[in-house]
Amino acid sequence: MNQILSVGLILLAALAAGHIAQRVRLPEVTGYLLIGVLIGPAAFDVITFENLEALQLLSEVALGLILFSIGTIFEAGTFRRLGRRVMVITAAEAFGACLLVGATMLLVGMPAAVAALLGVVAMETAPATTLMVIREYDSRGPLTDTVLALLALNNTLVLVTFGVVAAALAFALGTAPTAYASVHGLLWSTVGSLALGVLTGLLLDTWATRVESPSETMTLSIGAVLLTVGAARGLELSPLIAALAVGGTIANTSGPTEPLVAGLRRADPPLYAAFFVLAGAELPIAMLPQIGLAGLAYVAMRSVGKVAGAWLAVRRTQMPPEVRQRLGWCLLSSSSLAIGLTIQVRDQFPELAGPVTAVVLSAVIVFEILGPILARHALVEAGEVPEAA
Amino acid sequence: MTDPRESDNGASTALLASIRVRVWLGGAAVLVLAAGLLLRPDTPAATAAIEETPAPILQDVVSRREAQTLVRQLQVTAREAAPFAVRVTLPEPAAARWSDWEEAPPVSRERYGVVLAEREVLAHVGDVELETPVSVTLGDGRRFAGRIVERWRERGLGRIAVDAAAPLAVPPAAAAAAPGDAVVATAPGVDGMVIAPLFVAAVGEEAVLVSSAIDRFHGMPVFGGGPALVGVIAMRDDGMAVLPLAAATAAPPGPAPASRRLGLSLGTMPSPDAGGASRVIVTAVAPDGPAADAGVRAGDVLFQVDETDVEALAGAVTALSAGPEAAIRLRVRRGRQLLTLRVTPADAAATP
Repeated sequence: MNQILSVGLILLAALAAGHIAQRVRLPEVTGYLLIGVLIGPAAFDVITFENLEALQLLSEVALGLILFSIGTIFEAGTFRRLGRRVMVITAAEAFGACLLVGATMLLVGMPAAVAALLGVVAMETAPATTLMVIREYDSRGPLTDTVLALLALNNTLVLVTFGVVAAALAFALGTAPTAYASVHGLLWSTVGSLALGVLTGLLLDTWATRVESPSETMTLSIGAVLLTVGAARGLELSPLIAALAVGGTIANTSGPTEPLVAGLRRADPPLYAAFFVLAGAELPIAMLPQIGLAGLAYVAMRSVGKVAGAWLAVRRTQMPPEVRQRLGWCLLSSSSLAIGLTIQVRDQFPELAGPVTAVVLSAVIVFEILGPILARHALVEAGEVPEAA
Repeated sequence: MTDPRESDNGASTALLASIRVRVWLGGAAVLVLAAGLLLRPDTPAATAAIEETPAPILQDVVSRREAQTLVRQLQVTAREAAPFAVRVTLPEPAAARWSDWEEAPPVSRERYGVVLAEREVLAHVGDVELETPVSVTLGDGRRFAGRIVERWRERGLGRIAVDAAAPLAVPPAAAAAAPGDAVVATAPGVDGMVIAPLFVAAVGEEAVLVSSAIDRFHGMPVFGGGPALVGVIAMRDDGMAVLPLAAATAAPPGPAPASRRLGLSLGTMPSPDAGGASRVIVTAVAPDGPAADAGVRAGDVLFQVDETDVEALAGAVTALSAGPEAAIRLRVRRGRQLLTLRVTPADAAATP
């Protein structure tokens, strides 16, 4: 079917699925994902692979906007409040998952390079899914604040760590031309992306002071974020870090941040809905039976690493008990970044791509479905959802 | 939802409130981006900044790294070239047709090809008839209907008009190949892309010879870095080669091999009563063709054309090509029978 028809179908299917999900007390995002699975190539094939390829742009745009929203967390005041504690917790849960998964993969017989890559991918917490759950339930409180800050830091940490590990592996395997190229690549993808995001954020903020109407503000916000994502792709930077940096810059300027963010919020719902339906359609359900011992071990150890890592780190802070007991459960979603990293592995290390792809993709299916449900449960139990649905 | 900004309003406390800070930060960002671009490993400025890394001592480590780099480069080329490579699916009855210059009748319906123009592809179609409807699949998975509108029978190629709403991406200009270059043939297969790394052995005016056996890749486009199209794998009189598009879509110089006018195809097989040496046999006969009319059957061992003894396939083809337009006398052995058959080529029959 043609792309316009497929987008229309996706949006209406998302709407219906969201309603059904709410009725059965599941997060909307779970509904979007499941309807995506149903209408995607894995089931009824209403949305075909061809459609998915053509709508890739939509997914990238949505992800850029999501990360921009998350980047606005990086506001100096918030960090003064939460700062060090959150950094410690992020490091603990991320590296906890990384080390546990890496060690377990070695134990089940994976080569060291594959185990290292899987460990890094396991660090990731899906920003989009978790943010959607928080927004849907309009949760507020210390747990929500901490999770939001963690999302921003976690994704940055994962991207930087992946860059370092990939560069080291490329050098060790002899696929990197020179040490200089490896170092340049790493710095370019991190510092360069940051620079692009900061530059765009500053320009956006300067222009925003001259824009008053809400529709113009929305156009400006969306245009700036798309420009950043597009420029990052063209310059071979990381669109994710750049989008995060735009949000972070905006959050720290004296200009009108709220209208910019609010402008984006108005455009969010259909984009997010389409994004998650597409994500569901792309889930390689057929791989689930192939999850195997390695995949099951990955799922188990990633969960243990995140939950236990967060719990151990939070114990040493002054966080309230509702945060301590439930933080880890909000961090289990895993999706687009993990898939993005897997694609990078496929490009950079084609000989390692097979096992990494099989394990990560099958685990993503599990975490994408269970993650939002567990996050919702944790937020409700912590009393941070206004009307406990 | 908790918005971090709500809890900390007030322009004066914002980190980037000061114009001076913003200007410095913006300038620093521009400098970082400029430096990153200029100091990229493959730019002239980068060369000065890179120190010589001592080359590994062990030859096998060097060759392993080089081979890995080469393979990665070819993989990248193949991936970038995928949109230009096509697979053509022939309808079943057409696919079963024989063709003169192929030693054995093709059995696969799937053939390889390349985008020729915005709504045309060039593919290996054998002797399938004009106007035959086909299905064309691009490297990106898109599928279109098409029909064969022209053929270059000597090459085994055909031009297919594609029913596409949007113009297809045409491969960039041909790359000049040199002996020793690594190139890659690629096309969509049934289960994914087929990729064949090749090394250029020799370059002639009308063909690029490569060091690997490429018969089974008939019709597949070959790309160099870029990806730029080197040529397409097609039939020549002396075998398969990589032909530039211009040569692939031009009539070959000299007279066309007469065997195609005779409606038969030839092959070789070891003959026990020739002491293990190969004999030339008729592998297929076109129904209603001149050879069939003359009584030639598949399986006949051909040992004489007019007055010339035939001992090898090349000789048989030459003898059949060199024959006049009048009837050709074939002497064949069928089982224990020796037969003399007169075949009137189709062209000769058509002339008044």
